[in-house]
Amino acid sequence: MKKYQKLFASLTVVALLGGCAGRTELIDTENDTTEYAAALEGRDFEKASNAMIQDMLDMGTLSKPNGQPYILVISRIENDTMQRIDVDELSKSIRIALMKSGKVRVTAFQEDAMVMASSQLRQSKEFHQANVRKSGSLAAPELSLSGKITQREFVVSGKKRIEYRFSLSITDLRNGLTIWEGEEKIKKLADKNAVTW
Amino acid sequence: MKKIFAGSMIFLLWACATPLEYDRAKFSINPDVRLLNINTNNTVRPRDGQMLVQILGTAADDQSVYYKVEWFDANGMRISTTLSQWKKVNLRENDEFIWSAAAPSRRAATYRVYVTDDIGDGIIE
Repeated sequence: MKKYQKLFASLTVVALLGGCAGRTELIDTENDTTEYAAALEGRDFEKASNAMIQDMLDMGTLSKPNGQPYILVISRIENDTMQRIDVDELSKSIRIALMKSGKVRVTAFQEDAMVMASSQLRQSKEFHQANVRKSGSLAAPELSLSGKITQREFVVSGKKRIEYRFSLSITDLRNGLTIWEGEEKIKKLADKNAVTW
Repeated sequence: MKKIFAGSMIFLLWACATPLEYDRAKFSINPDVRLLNINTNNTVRPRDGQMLVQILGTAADDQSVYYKVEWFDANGMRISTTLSQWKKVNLRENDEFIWSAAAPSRRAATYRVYVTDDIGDGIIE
């Protein structure tokens, strides 16, 4: 009987805990007005990248004189914050928007190991050579996108002020000149005990 | 005398409630957004065919509003882009504002500006 009592008690506790668990809800990413976190989150990356894309399109520096798209390579985007973040969140949305604009095409020879590795198929008799990349056929990048994300924190009037700075540059690899530079700041005011890492 | 007073009050209320006039093909504005006027102009940069848009207006009141620009191609199909996201701005009474936007691609032929004071809480029911 004691055995059944223990089992009943355990089941009751499990049921109670289950009942206490909050409902998970879906967020509409286009109309997301839910509370912000002190740390960097998806909306911050979206806001920063959208502002910088708008600036790039507005300036017109990414428009090649002959109307053809530039070949862009994504270089290093440094994470100089206290957070472990994937900087691809920033570069990915920028490259998607730029490719959709028709102004650039992105070479993936750095990120996708198969681009370089596929040259090994040239020697193989197992592969039909019609689809094998010919020597000297990779498109060399003309522009490079690089940047940095920084974070600074201050305590002012009992509140923590967190400043994030997204800085990006586009450099012409043929002459080393920077053709576009952009900076977007996101400032947050949080509880002084808020943790951002 | 009472009739004159009542008439004046009705006239005053009517004057206050004069609806905002705007180009309904270019704008979709929530009635709760209090503006004195709003207009838009655009240009296509000859060098690269890039469409640039400016939205100019005057706020009737202190208010936080959201706006976004949706882009359409020559066939009237909406162009999917991350750039068409709500942007929150603070308006000040009688202050003029200028918002600008660049088309996401050369395919953009027309656009529509959406202005609202409320985009909900973001939770999908």
